[in-house]
Amino acid sequence: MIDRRSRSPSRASWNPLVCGDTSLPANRLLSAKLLALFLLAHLGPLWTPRIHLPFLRFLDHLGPAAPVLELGMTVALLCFAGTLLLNRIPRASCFALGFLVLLGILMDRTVYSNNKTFAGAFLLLLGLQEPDRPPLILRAQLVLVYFGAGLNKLLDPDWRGGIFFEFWTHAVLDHTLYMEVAELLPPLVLSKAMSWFVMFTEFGLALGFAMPGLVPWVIAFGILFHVGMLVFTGGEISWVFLYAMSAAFVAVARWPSTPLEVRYRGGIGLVLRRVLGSLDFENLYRWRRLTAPVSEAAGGAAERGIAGRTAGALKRIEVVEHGTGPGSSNVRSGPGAIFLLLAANPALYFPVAALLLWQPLPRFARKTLDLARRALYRLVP
Amino acid sequence: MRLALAIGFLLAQLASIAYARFVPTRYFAWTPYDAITFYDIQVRIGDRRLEEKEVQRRYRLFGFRDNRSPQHVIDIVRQYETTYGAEDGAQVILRYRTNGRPERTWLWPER
Repeated sequence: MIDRRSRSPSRASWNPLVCGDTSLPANRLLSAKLLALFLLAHLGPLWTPRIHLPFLRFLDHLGPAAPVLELGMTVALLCFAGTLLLNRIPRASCFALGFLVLLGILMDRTVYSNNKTFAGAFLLLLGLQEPDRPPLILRAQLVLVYFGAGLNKLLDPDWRGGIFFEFWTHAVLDHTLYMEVAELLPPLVLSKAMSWFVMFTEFGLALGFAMPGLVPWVIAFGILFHVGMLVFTGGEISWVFLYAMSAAFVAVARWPSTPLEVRYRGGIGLVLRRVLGSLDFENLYRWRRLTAPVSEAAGGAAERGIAGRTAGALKRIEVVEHGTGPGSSNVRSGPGAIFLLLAANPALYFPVAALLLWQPLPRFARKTLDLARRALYRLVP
Repeated sequence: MRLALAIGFLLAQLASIAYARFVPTRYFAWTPYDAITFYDIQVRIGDRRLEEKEVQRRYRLFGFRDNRSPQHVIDIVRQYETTYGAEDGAQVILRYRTNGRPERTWLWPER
């Protein structure tokens, strides 16, 4: 097997959908590109940084150098976003882009936000993290984010006592379902329970990212938590945070270092080969059609109904992830195999990213959730 | 060198988280949605009261709600009035409510 990471960086593709063959591991480069796209969509005034009420007061005294710095930063931001997306000097681009975003925030306190700061900090660390080492520094950043969030809530009496949650759900979200459930319970009980649930979750995520063995589970739980918050608030919060954190999770996820061997027997395997094959820009898959007769266990005569046939069809696909050491291969079948096939292809992340960054999406999601809520009220008077 | 830079950067964040325990601000301390503040700013320069849009442009605060500590809004107004707007002699009344608690008022010049 060829280790894709060992190839020369000079062979790096100019295709922005490709993330292999550079000085960065594919998942870290993918993470950086997703964060760069997030910044392109949400950076707003930070693309044209201005010195305005800076955190660093000396910047107010730069005099004629200030416009030069501001213009230089805009040019540099665009250049490094471009080089990153086109697989040129990816580590340096990550570092520079992160540094410039953080500097832009330090230049203007009115643009400060946790999302932008996180994107800048994570990009900076993607540039500093050694490519051939485990992503300890990146995990440490995630630990700090969730620990900081949990600690601040734990030490805030309004959070501990459920006051924040009560005010937020009643006065800001106008969350009818929540208010109705809360009325069935003694005052503040539901809000206290929700507050403590959030705090425990954030501390749990911090602890989980500190333990390398738990990372895949913590990523799944983290995404579930952010999506849950999104649904709960009807799209009011966490939209950009869900995106930024999910993009960061990609960098610490376990990622195949060699092409995946896909063994399949007809049917769904052929369809997958045709679809994924057309989206495989960097030889991620090696397809092997098996000719052996389909066993009963793999879905022969025993299959009944649509569910049975689907399960049987999925069992006819196996994905082998070859490790770098002898005997370190990992074989998956069924839905796990399909998930691995989809998750290991960077090109598939970009349409999802484009959808999540599509500006009208939160409004559309809010309307959909509102309709679902109304339908629920009709069912449960 | 890179590792030292990364560790220094992470330690600085840890220091920010610790520092936030002793001050009302929450900059660089990873505190999303820690408080919800509704506020209203009135600015008077000489005899003229500024329009809402003028106030928004002056401080670049485009809204009436902040999902962080109210001190962040106060910091913006105070820094503006002590630097770019120092010559204006503006009088500012900031009324705000955090997490539904009783309304509070902050005045500039501070008394």
